[in-house]
Amino acid sequence: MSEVFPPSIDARRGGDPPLAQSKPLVTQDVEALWDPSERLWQIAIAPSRWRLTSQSCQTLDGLRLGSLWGEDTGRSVLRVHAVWLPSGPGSGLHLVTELPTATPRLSTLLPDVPAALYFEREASEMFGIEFASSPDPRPLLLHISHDFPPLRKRTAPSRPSGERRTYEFPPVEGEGVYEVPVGPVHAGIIEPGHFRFQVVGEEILSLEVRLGYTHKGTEKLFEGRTPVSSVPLAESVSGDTPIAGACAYSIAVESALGLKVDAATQAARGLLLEIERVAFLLGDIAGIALDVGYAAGAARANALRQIAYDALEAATGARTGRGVLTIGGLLRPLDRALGPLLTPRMGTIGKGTTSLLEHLLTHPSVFDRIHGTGTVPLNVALALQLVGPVARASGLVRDVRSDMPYGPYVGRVVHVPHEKSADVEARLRVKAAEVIEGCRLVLEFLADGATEASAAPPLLSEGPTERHGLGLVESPRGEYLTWVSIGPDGRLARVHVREPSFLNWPAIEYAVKGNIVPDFPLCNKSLNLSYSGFDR
Amino acid sequence: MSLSSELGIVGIIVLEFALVLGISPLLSGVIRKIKSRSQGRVGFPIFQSYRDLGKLFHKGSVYAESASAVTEWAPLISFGALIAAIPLVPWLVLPSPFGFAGDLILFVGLLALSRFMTALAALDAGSTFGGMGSTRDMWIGALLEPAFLLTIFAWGAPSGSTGASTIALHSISLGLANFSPPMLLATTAFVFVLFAETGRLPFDNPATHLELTMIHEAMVLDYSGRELLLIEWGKAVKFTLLTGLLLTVLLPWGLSLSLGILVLLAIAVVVAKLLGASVIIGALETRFAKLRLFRVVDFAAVATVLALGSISLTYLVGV
Repeated sequence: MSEVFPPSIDARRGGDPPLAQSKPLVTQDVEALWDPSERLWQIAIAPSRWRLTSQSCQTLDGLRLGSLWGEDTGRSVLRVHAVWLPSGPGSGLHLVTELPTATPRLSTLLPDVPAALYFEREASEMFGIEFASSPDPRPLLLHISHDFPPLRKRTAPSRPSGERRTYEFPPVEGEGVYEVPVGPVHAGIIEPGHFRFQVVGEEILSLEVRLGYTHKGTEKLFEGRTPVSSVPLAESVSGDTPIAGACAYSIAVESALGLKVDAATQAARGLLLEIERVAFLLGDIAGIALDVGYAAGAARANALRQIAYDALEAATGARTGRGVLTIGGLLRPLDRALGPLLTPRMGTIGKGTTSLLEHLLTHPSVFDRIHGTGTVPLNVALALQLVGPVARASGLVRDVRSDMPYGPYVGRVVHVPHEKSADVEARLRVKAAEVIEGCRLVLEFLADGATEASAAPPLLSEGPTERHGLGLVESPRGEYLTWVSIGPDGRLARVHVREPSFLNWPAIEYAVKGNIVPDFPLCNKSLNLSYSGFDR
Repeated sequence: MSLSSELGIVGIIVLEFALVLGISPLLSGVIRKIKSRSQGRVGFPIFQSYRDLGKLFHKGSVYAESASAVTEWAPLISFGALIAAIPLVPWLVLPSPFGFAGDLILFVGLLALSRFMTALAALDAGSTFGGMGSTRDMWIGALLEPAFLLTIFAWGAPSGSTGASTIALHSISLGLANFSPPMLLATTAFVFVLFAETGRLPFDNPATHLELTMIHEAMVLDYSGRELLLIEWGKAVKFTLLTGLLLTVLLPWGLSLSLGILVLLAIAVVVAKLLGASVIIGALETRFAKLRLFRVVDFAAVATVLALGSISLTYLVGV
């Protein structure tokens, strides 16, 4: 087993960590390099120390698993990356280990790190890595077996062999227990997912979600393309948050190539990110109102949402914000006369959201439905390491914008709303508060010269070596992570996208416990998880 | 009885069936329009329901492989039961020439038969949603039926009859005194029953796309073509039946007391009353979110208590 440091770490741009960033305890006996732009310590370890080091990250340093993914170097070596992130303001840790492609075996992080489950299942099916003594080796995204693990490097693409894999749902037994299979095709036009309920009467005993129906091999599609031409792909990982997707991807590429982005461009990015957040979360609020059958409330939220989309269209010419961002900045500048147009609209949305929230919370039949429904207790949120508004509604105050400020948010104060009751009501309150805060931030970015950003210069991505970079963005759903590896030819060698839903999906299985079946759609809507972002 | 009056009676029955079957889709169109307006949308044209039914008429039916003959004939029986209930309510003429056919107890029974057949059909194919919808629907039915029957006893108590014509004639004879506390209590109870029986908010959301929250819609997910036409139409007819009954008892004025030309005026009055009631019911519906399923028990209890209170007032206090 080679104990060499992956080239990514050798070639890192150096720099001293700020004094406050004391070295994590786990790094005391290994070499660690500080990456100032990503605010991460880079550490390479031997596979034999994988489990122990990971446990220490969690217990000694209080870090949480942000993502875990595989990479095929194409040189008979597989790498496994894990990013450990701080639970509050601070710095994180990027662990890398190398495995021989012929016999890739690694010890599982389960059950000590419950959040690792989906990551390991994915790495296992996509790279053929065996996680020894894993309690759940079932496939995650691939429903049909492939002739070889699809994300490994080969000249010929991996093809489905046409054989449908068996997938066992753990049975629940007892008198009066029955199983309700729902989906993947639903009565409404929504994304596909299969839900297996174990039910007594109307009460839900357990739920298991099976996804992967929209798996498009997006991470594979990135490979071999140039960084700039792949921005539209990054936007469409979860098509309802294209700006966050493009931003996370751009930040990752910029970090890999060592690009600096000027302040006006950062402000423009911030402005777009916040308008997207406002529009998206208003959609969530509308969805909650609609799912309790209160169409009049939903109509009010949707009307506000349209104002936000109108603002986005006025700013960029693109209603959903696609095709606006690129690496290093914007494809074309924002409309310079945006100020007088945006200010009253953001005011309208802010005021409208305040009064709508008040209306929904004081409407007895709405309040009765959302209060105490779909609770995700704090201990569950902590164990699963949830992110975004869902985590904040459960009492976890975490937000990339304030914990690990990036681009537009460096040196900016962001109010992070949070609640304790962890139910649908708490999520509604958090989302409404974030809409209002988003409106404020939009105007702040406007004042900081967002409209003065010019179009991005052409990008030169060729270089002497392989370069890696990581981008973290707080998307409307929470922490959005993208990692890129760019080869010497300037083309993407591997891109890993972890949409926040990947961490948050298991929350639904806990949120519905003890609830009744007809309340499931409401719990689901209040979490608003992306199927496409999960499946990629 | 002369030949002309017999022809008149046949004419009335044809008119009444045509009226109820014909106007039902319009009423559901009106309610949808009101709901759309409350959401700031323009909404479908109010005649859209007719087009929907016409579309279903021209479509073929698809049956689940596991379905038996029940799936085919249950919608017919269900619809037939509703048609049979039409003459039990005096729509145009008082006393209704078909009052002899049965009283409101039969009316409740026919509605229950219709509900039972729909539930049976939903169970037939063995799909999850059909089963879920039918258990919920029968459960709501069992909870609300006592309130329904008690309301009818409460309405009938002053006149000592459960026949709709007798009750309506008694109401007319009272004049404004018809709006007595027992009547208003019983009517309130009936409004609860009406909303539950016709699957409207806050009991059931007819507009939902969320299969797990559905009640009535879950039962008919497996249906298509003309069977679905009968079910959809039947749902609209049921609404007209219950609204018509409510109007007959609460506002019986405008019905013709003979078989003469006044029947034409009665048609206009009945149509106006039904449209007005639909607007009010549609507006009421927009005020509610859907109840959490088990809260239906509370509503059923309230309806039952209101109806009981109405009966007690009539007999004990003699208001």
